[in-house]
Order: sequence, then C-alpha cells, then structure tokens
Amino acid sequence: MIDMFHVSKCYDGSTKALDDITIKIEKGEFLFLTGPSGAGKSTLLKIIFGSESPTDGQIIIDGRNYYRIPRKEIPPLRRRIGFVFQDFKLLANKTVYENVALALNVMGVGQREVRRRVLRILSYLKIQHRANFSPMSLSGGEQQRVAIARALVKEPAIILADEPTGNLDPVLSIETIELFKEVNNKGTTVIIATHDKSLIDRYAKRTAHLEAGRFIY
Amino acid sequence: MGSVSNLFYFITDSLRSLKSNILTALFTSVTLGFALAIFALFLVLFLNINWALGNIGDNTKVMLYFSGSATPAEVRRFTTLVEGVEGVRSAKYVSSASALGELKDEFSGQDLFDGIESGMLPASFEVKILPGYREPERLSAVVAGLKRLKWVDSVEYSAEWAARLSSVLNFVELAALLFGLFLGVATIFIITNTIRLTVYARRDEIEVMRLVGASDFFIKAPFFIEGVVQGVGGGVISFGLLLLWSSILVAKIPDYLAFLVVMPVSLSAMFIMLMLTGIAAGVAGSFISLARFMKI
Ligand SMILES: Nc1ncnc2c1ncn2[C@@H]1O[C@H](COP(=O)(O)OP(=O)(O)OP(=O)(O)O)[C@@H](O)[C@H]1O
Ligand SMILES: [Mg+2]
Repeated sequence: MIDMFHVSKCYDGSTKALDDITIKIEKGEFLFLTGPSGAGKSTLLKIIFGSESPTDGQIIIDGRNYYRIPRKEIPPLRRRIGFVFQDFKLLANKTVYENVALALNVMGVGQREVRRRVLRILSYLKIQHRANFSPMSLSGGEQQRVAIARALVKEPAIILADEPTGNLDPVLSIETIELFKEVNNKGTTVIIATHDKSLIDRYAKRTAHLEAGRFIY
Repeated sequence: MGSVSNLFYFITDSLRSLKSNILTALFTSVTLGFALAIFALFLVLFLNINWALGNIGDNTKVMLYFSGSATPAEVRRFTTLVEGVEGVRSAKYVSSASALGELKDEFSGQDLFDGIESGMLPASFEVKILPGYREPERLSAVVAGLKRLKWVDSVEYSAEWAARLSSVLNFVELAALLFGLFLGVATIFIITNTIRLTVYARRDEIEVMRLVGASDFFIKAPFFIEGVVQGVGGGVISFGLLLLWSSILVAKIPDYLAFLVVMPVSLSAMFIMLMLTGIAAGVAGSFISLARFMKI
C-alpha cells in the first residue's frame, strides 16, 4: 500500500531529517515507528501525507507515484488518510463538534450523515459531553481524543498518528491503542509514531526504529 | 456529490464567520464604502467640470464676412460650401439687417443706432467648430480652409481665446487623470489591506482545512461569499454617502456652481454601478489576500 524507495529529506539544505529510507507497508498492516526525538518520525509521516515532499527518492501509495505530487491531488490523498497531529491542529473558534465535522464537510458529506457519524465517534471516544465546548477549554488528553476523532470519523484507508498517546495516562493510552487496533482489524492501515517503549512491548507489532534519519534493525 | 449540501454549508459557514467577526466585517464594509464614495465623487466632479468646459468650447466660433448681400439661393449654396470644410460643425447666415437688429437688441432703450442703415453692417456667416478642431493649430487649419472660399472677404476669430481654452482643457484632463490614478491605487491598497485583516484572522482555519483535505474551491467559496456580502455593504454605504453629499450641497451651492453637483447618471444607475464595483472590489480583495495563505 505504501512503498518508499531511498527517500531522503533535507530541510533548508542542512542535516538530513531522513536519509535513504526504504520501507514497504502492506495494506492492513499495523506499524510502530519509534526513535528518539529529532530522529525523523514526524517527517516520515508528513511525506506520506504530502505536506512535505522528499528531497530524493520515490514514494508510491496505492500504485501512484507521489514523488512530486501535483497540488490538485493533495486533497483526494488527504481524504483517504486520517492524520493525528502531534500538536492536534484544532480550531479554537469552533466547537469540538465542528472541529470533527470539518473532516466530513470538506468531503461534501450531507449534514444529517455528518451529524450521525460525528456524534457516534465522539461517544465512542467518550467525549460527547464536550461536543459544544471549544477545544481550548478541554484537558490535553481530551484534546488528543478530539484530534483522534477527527482522524477516524472519515473512516480512512490509512491512519497516521504522531504521538497519539503523548498526553494520555497509561490507562487511556492503552484504550487509544486498542481503538486503533480495532480500526486496524477492519482493514485500515495504521502507522503510529511513538516514544512509548511500554506500548511497543505490550503489543508486539511490527516496529521500525529510526535514528538520525535512518532505520536501525 | 453533495453540491447542494456543500452550497448550504458554504453559506451557513460564511454567515457564521461574518457573525463572529462582525466588527471586522463592518469595518471592511465601511472602509470600502468610503473609498468607493470618494472615487465616485471624484468621477462626478470630473465629468461635470469636463462637461462645463466642453460647453464653453461650444462658443468657439469663427466669423466669415463677405461684401454685398446674397440672394437666398446663394446663401443656401454658401452654407453647403462652408459646412463642407473640414472641422466645421454648422454655419448660420447673419444678414446685414439682422446683424443690426442684434446690435439694437443688445443696447435696447438707447438710440445710438437710429441713423444707421441696414446696409452698413456686413453680412456674415457664424461658423461653429467641431470639438476636435478647437486647439490653436487645428483651428488655424480650419480657418485657412475657409479663407480659400473665393467669395469670402475676411475671417475673424480669437486665436488667443482658443489657445487659452485648449490649454485649460489639457491641464484639467491631465490633473484629473493623475488624481484619479493616485486615488485608484490608494483605494485598491486600502481595500486589499482591510480584507487581508479578515483573511489573516482565519489563517489557522485555512491551514486546518487544507490538512483535512479541503479542495482550493472549498476553501475559497466562503471567502467569495463573504467578499460579496462585504461588497454589497460597501456599495450601500457609498451610495448613502453620495446622497448625503449631494443633498447637503444642493441646498447651499450658489447657482453658477450648481452644475458641479449634478449626477451624470440616474440614481438607480448610480446605485447599480456602486453595487457592482463594491462586489467586484470585495471579491477581488478577498482573493488577492487569500492567495498568500493558499500556498501552505
Ligand atoms: N520544518 C522544518 N524545518 C527545518 N528543520 C526541520 C523541520 N521539521 C523538522 N526539522 C528537523 O528535522 C529533524 C527531524 O524532525 P522530526 O520532527 O521529523 O523528528 P521526530 O522524530 O518527529 O521528533 P519528535 O519525537 O521530537 O517529534 C529534526 O532535526 C528537526 O529539527
Ligand atoms: Mg515528531
């Protein structure tokens, strides 16, 4: 489903954030991406998402080459990918409900269907009682679940999650990973970037370890 | 797919955003309204002054004198000949008798001309000149053409008057052009900068929309609607300002300046023009400001 060949990424020409990365991720796979801070985990996810383009190498998603993705093809790609951002990217001037609904609105889903799906995912993540609040009035963990809800609500083919448990206590962390596993069981490809060694050990899933932009096996 | 629900979404979304940024939106409309009103007032003044100067130019005339008198048939023939000369708009025959009559009218009540007989004033043609031929050089070419007519005794015109009029006209036109240009550029700057504020206030929203897969069209549509709404607001405000301006001045203005405040077009045409300009400026302003934030 996702194929990367010799992908490198240099921000402003200096050090390499990614250095000759080759990886094949199958459809329906569950992958942990680990490594110390600054190793390039976020960069790798951003390249798959089309918000950064590789300096070198090829990336193929569903048989399409995205090395230089034309501007017009970015929106359709992103509608098939649910991204949980490390800094959430929630809008303070909209309610929790509106933030999550935005992901469906941009796809042209009808309002009744939007309502049904948003309320369902919010109660699934146990934040339905916060639907009409601004994200800014929520705790870090609650905001994180809103960000996850927005990624999941469109039932994407691929989930990319950047430190999705960074703000959660151990119990909620496990619940969240269980949630991603459930989605994964239904056939969604899931890639999770995380520092959390205990989670990786607990789940014994495929793990790719990054260090200074290279994979260490 | 969902285009009706999209439209509904765009409209409710832009109305909601207008409502939550009501002060900025009002500020934009008011700025737009004043800018449009100033520009429209400039046009009104310019068109009226130009029109008045053109009227003065209509007084540019050349007198053709010839000795003796002419039979009606000759007058008709001469008229055609004079009107055939390039640059001539019309020619009017003034017989010796009617020339005296005009003179007597002008000095009515006085008996200065009682002894004068009708034959003593020469008969003439009063020749009016087309607008394009009123500058000194072209006018003297017309005069030369008239002198070539054999039966003409003498040609009289005020070269000085023609020169002064044309220099005034040229100056007014140049000054107005420069002024209009400065005003236009300033107006565009004010409008785009004001609208940039509203777009800037929503840059996070634009970024997040792009991140969740919104197309360019989806991002732009609400701004388009907001631009239209703000443009309508600006159009209405500028129309109100214009009405206020003319209603205050019409009462106070001395008669000989009244031509300045006359609206060159009907009120409804003025309203429509201001609305369309306002909408165009609102939409263009939105898009110009938006372009900077679309590169994410
Ligand atoms: N926009 C950017 N401009 C310049 N350098 C960047 C940019 N984003 C990331 N980098 C650099 O690229 C390297 C990899 O960053 P990245 O964010 O991918 O690391 P990470 O593995 O996600 O780290 P963390 O665990 O702290 O989130 C770092 O050295 C970082 O400083
Ligand atoms: Mg990161």
